[in-house]
Amino acid sequence: MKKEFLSGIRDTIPLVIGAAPFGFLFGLLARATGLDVVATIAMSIFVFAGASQFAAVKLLAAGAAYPLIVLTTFVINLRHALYAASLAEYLRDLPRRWRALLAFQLTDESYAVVITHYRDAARGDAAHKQWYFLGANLAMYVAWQIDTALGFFFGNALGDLRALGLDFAATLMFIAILAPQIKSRVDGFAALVAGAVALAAFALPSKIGLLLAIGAGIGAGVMLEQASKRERTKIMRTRSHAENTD
Amino acid sequence: MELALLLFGMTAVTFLARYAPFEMLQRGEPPAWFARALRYVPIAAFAALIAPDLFAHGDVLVFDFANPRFIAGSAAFVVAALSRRVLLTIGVGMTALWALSR
Repeated sequence: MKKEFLSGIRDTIPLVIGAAPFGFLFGLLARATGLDVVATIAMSIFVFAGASQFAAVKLLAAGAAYPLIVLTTFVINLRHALYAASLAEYLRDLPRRWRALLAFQLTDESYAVVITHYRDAARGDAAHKQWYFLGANLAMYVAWQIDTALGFFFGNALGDLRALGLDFAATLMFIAILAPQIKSRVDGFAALVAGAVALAAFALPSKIGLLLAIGAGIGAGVMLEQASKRERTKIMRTRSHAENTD
Repeated sequence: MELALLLFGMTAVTFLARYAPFEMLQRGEPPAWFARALRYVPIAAFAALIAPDLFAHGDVLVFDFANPRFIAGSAAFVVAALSRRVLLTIGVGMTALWALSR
């Protein structure tokens, strides 16, 4: 239990580092927009979703109506529903309060390490798998609160930490996780399509581009998988036909 | 006060997106086509998260294949595919990024 929890934390460390410049920047921007320290930290504690926190601050600065901000938040975080759906089979036998707790802190980052850990059945201790998830979640959660507070109080002194390239640690972690998962032509095709759509649709608001890209990648994978299955059946049929006529 | 309402709304919709699928898929196996589609979620999601980072220039994308992030990311991808080692991948990628952006 404790071992799983600690390895969940440990596996998430590169992503914690990668997210730091963004938490910091969020604190800085929230203050610049006129949010007080309580509202800023409260947003990180309760909403805990980086991209939508940025969007909310930008929309507040632009004087947007609250329902629009809530709707935007929902659209930005819809991709988490896909993550949750793909994790559901692993948490089915847990009490509901565990699922609610783990879902509340689900992020791109914790999803990445947790789904990789769960799908690699050889690793981990199945009886305590929720502790791994909790470790990954809490590492991101606690760090995000600290980053937000640091950004709020010291943001002006330090400026944009992205200039240091620390945020790239998260990109590299995603690369380290993605590359070994590409095991077939179909996987590679799904990744290429998702990446291409993410670039093409990057300018769309509310991370809609990201959602479209994930959808396109899934669609591409499923379709090519079907097509190559059909192709294989056809070849096999032709072969057995040829053997019969020989 | 009104800000508290906004925070409540944002919290509620975010939690809904993260939690609802767990309960919806709680009873029994999902249909086969759905399970097949879910298998591609990680690959599609990571690729979609990575791609813009390789061309990021502040808040916009610049399609320059000679930029340090694209080169460092590509090198890291090769290292990751061959070695399957996370820390080595990050080490090579960060070193390449810092070396190339000086």
